[in-house]
Amino acid sequence: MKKVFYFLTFTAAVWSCTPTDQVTPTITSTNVTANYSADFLHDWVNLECHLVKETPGFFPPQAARVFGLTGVTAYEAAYRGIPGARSLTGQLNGFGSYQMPQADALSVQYHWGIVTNAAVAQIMRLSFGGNLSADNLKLIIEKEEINYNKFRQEAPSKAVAELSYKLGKDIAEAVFEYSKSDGGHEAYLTPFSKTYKNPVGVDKWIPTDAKNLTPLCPEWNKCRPMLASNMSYAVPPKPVAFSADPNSDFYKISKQVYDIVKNGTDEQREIARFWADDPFATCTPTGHTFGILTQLLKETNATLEKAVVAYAKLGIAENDAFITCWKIKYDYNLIRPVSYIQKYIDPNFKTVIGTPPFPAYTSGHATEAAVGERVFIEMFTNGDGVYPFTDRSQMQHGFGTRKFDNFKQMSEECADSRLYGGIHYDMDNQRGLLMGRAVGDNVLRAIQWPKKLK
Amino acid sequence: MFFGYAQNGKNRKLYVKKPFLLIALIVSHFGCANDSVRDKDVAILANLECQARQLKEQRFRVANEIRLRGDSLMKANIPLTEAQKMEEDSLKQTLTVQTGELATRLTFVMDSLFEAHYKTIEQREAFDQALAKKVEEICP
Repeated sequence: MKKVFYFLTFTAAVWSCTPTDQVTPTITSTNVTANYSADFLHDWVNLECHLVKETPGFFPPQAARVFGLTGVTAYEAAYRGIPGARSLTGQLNGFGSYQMPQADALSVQYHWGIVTNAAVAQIMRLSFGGNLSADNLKLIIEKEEINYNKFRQEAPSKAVAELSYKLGKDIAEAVFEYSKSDGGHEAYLTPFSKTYKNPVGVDKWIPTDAKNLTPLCPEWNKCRPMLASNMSYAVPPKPVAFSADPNSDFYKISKQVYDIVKNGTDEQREIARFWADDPFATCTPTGHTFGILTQLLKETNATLEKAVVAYAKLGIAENDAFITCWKIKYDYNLIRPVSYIQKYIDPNFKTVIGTPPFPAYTSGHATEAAVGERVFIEMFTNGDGVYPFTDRSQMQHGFGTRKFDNFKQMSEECADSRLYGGIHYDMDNQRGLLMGRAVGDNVLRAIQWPKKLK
Repeated sequence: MFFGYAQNGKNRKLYVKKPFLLIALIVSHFGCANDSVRDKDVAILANLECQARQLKEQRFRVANEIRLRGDSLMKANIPLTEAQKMEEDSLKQTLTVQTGELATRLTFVMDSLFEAHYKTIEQREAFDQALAKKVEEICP
């Protein structure tokens, strides 16, 4: 009798200690995420781009963060329908399983479209917060309702539809709670710190924009990356030592910017504008890369299964790329080429496009495009990166298409565009690419992602 | 196989066999029909793309004017006035909304056309080329 008692106690203890994120419900072959279309999720990503453009305070770091939260939320909403998939709880920095709602006995019947739709709608409502306009809030509500009404017909019962909806909402609330402590919560309210004191020195950043005399998000380096290890993987070497001597390396890299802007071709100027992703025209560099991902997923007829994994990978990598890049920017506070050139080479120098209000080293565009490169190579090629494609994402903004033979060519053109525009030294771009690749690779490696996606 | 000879006295005339003539006519008809559909699609999208291109040029022009005015003020150590800031914000807001509305329309039309008529990569690339040509023609 005693033995039975000890056995039962031991079993109960083991049972109660099993992390909840490991309790994955049985997946029936008839209700897997791969059986759902991803079209509605692509529409949500397009809407997020629209929200970033129209909501005040969403500059590149804030935009990368909301795209990251959307990626995590969509994955958490749908992973239970993916064979072999694990929750991101316990895998992301500080994201504990206790925070997430648990699937119940009906989980095998959940409608993954309803869960994902409700989750993504809610995380967008929450993460754009008080700055969301009434019109854009209406767009979210309408899209959520249209999708729900369509999916409700496909759910096995009204109860399942309602439970699916509730699970989605609860997941979004949990991800939002997690995000509140990451350092970027409501950062859209004060993107330009009033209290930050710019370090002073000949090599230091000085304002390049009359409207923003303090730099953008100087404390973004304190934000919590979704993968703690990303900071150590990606740290670049020091920039070339500053000097005003015409024989110095620093002068030479500045002169290179000057010469390229002065003698640039029409195509180089168009490339500079194509990738500029100015917040008042497009939805920031992250939005551009998400736009390319959406196009690739559509062209390959990816299901909801592949789409949620791809958006999560890219979202996490973009979020961390901006934190890492912003840390380096404010570690060195390096002067922008326009400021150096006007002081030491040509006082009348003008860049092709406006220089954004934050330090030069390293390039945010190069860093974020390189995480895109790594995620796309893993998702769409056998590892060689060869994938001829046409970027049509900027046609909506009046640009032509741009063709690439592979994803490396895409990220390198994005990086070079900053040199053509006079915005960055070449070292900012080259080291940004290396940083982004390191962050991207780590996101693919450090998280247990499901394999063989459809 | 596709051709035959008609013996008419001393003259031999080459003629196309009737079934193949019929097939050729059908193929050519559908080819023309496809071309006509594509021409219409290209015209619709080129019109929107031209508007988007003009709006893009306007955006960059305004951005440059704002930038150059800011540069001059900064060089003279004169801060932007609140009125100037409001004017800039208002201009940006107007252009952002116009760009957003046009972008939504353009994306919707492009997605619908691709979904209906241009499903393969090759078809889309041919469409891209025809579109670029048309935009160059109609867009000043």
